[in-house]
Amino acid sequence: MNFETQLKLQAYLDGELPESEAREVAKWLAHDQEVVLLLGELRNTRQAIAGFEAGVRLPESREFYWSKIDRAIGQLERPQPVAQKRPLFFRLQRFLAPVSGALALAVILGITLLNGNTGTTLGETELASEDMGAITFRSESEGMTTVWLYNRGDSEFTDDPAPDSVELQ
Amino acid sequence: MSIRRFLAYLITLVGVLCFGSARVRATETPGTRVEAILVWATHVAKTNDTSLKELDPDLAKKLSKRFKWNLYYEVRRKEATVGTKDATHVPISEKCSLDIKDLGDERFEVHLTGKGKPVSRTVESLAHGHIMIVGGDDKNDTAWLIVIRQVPAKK
Repeated sequence: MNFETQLKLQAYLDGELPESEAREVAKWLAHDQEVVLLLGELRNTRQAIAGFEAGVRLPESREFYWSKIDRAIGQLERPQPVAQKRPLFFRLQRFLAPVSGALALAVILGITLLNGNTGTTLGETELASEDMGAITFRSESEGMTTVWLYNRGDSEFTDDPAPDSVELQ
Repeated sequence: MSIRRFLAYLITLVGVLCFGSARVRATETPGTRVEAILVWATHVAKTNDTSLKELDPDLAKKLSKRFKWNLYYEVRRKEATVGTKDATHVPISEKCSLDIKDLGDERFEVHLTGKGKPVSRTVESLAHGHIMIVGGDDKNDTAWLIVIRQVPAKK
């Protein structure tokens, strides 16, 4: 028995064959015991399946149920928006923003350190001896800074003799 | 990019910057020409003293605007090349000397020594013709001044 015969027998059982073909199958059944056995088997199988079919009931109307499926299929078929390829600069921007900040900080720090800034104010004078005093005057307009040194002992408020000062010669 | 990798890049970059700057400094001129002029300020002309010569008129004019004296004599003039590494010793007289160090950006540190003892330390910019004067009163209402400036370009 070939596959075609088996299918036709199944269709016969389901009552789907036209009358001429149904008669032909009836002839097979009259003469071929194997066909009879297969038909019996198919019938038993159908009955068994029909007996175990659960009576599934939809929680909503049939139309609404299928409309949901239709919408889901429609969404799947909708063309997905293609991610627009942004220029390289914009992609790097997220990376460059913090890096540029850190870089600027590093450069400022580096320049400050490299310039050897001692933190000394221009024109500031330190004296080695407490006996000496200094008056500093700085003028940007005159382009001149004067540091005038004097002996504290030379004050008009004291009669102490002046200590040795910086002698030139 | 992990933080560790980012920091590695950053440290490398800072290192390159430092090294590059150091290289630039190393290739700079060996020092700055600075001069120190010992000046004697007085009200009385000393035409008979051959060791004194009249100060450059421009400088004398500048000083007379600031100080009360009207005559300025140049006692001694010393030029020196001042570097950034070590201070340059500039003897002004037998008892007085300067030690000048270039701090960069045309800022200079000037140490004054008198009779072998440190007297003062001053930091000043000598950029754009700015001059620094260290001075003090002397006998008979006179004064001594040390004018420190970058050697001006020859006219």
